[in-house]
Amino acid sequence: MNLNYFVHLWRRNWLKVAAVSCGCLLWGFLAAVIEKSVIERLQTALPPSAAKFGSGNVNTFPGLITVMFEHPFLIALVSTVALAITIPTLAGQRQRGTLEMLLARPIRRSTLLVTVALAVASMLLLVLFAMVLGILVGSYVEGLSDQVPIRELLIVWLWSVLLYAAFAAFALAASGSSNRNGPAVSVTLGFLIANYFFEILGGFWDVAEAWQPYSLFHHFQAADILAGHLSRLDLVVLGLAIVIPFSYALYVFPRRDLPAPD
Amino acid sequence: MGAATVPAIVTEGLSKRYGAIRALNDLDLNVGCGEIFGFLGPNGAGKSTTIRLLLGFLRPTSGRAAILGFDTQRDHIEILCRVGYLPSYAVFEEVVTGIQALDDLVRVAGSRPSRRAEICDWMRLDESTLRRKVRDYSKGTRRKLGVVQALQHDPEVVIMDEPTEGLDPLVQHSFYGMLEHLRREGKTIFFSSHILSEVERVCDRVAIIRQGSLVTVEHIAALVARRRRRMEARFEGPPPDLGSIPGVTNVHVDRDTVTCGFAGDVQPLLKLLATLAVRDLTIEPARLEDVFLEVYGEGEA
Repeated sequence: MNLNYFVHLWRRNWLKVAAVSCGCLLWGFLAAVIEKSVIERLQTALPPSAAKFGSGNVNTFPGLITVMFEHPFLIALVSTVALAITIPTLAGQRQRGTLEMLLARPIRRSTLLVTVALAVASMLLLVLFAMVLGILVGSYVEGLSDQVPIRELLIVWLWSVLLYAAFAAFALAASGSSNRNGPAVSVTLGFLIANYFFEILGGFWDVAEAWQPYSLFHHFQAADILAGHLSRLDLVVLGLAIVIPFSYALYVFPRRDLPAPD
Repeated sequence: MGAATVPAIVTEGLSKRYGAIRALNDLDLNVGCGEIFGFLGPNGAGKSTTIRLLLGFLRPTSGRAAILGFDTQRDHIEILCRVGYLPSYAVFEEVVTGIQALDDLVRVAGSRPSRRAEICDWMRLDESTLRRKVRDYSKGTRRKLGVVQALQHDPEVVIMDEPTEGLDPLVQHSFYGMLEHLRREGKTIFFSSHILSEVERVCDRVAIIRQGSLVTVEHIAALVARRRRRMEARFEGPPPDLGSIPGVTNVHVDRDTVTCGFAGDVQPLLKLLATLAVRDLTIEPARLEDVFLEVYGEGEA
């Protein structure tokens, strides 16, 4: 890893990371508020099918936490870090021509890739910590702390980092093999939307329930983790979803030709 | 490995293909340390491909290249520690100041900007300009910043792709002075250019490349000396027949004026002219531009 470039990436993106962290903190806090002020009142009125959203179920606070993690708002917010920092760092710089200036320094392409990966991972750790911190604070304020044990909540945090790191690794692979932002963004967004589609559709439509395991979102079950059930299979799937695209990027990016930018 | 004992840049059979397209074909070059070496060719001739192969941005299809004895593929990092590079499109982050852009690059490289102030002086880039954001820079100022980033860490070898593109004549003049200064210090400078007068002015040797193949590598003086010069003479009375003199070609007679080209020994021509009543005589020195056009004219023919 190139520590100087790591610091450089943080310096360039700290404002974005800080804003996303604030958003995640509020979103996490909102979970307990929604549970207390809306869900508990509606619970009797909500049939089980209407309470389901993806793998979550708003009839329980841990189930609501799963929904909050799978909600498009959080996905969009965290993607601001996982995708919108990762892709411009390689494909975007390549398109602008600044990558060439960078690679004319004594820094290996593989080192550059590892540095970007670690910088984005550390940013994800921070923004998703803000989310679980928000959940924790909210649950204390609303008197729901007995439903969110701290040890399990920390595991939820790390697991959520794995989920978004998998998307970031995919973005890194797309970015490292592309000369422009556009194709890398399209491919990554397509992958993200396909995963989301499989997960959410399965929640609404019984026929599509069998497709849910094909979604990475399905392998992050916050409610189960908070209940103390850890799935090794989920861990392996998310681990592979990180390792495979990252290995691909690590193989392709250092070996590919970088002709002059258009 | 001592830099003085090995050539600064060597390529042996260096080739690059993109499918069926030959971007570079069996390039053999040998650039000595302390030399200013010009690399000439029109757009698409393979200049930038060569430079990108030297810097490891591209992988050769065959052949090899070395800088200061280090292989460009295997010892890529060792090379980049010793080389300064100015791409044809030197681009910086728009939202940072010039000084931040320069600082970022040396910080990532882990080097020190030991010559920044000096190079900024040569390039007439003052402190107040460096404190402005890059987005406010003109094309010329961006180019100056590009030159500073390539040289600020005092590299042994400098590779520049069309360095004076966008620079005003005053800065160009100063830039040539800087190259002379660097040459005296023993630095090696390899640059591509479209501006033939600039190459003729500052380079020791020049390579001309056409459609990916090397046409010639020679000292500029020798290259020019061998080429055809142009003579125009006005006579009192009817002009003589110059076509029979060895080396004289393209004789054109217009009333009392004869124009022709000649190459080789000038004595037979001068002896004949001395016997005639010459009213006016112009002999234009051969220029690199003539050589370049001749080389490309031959190619097209």
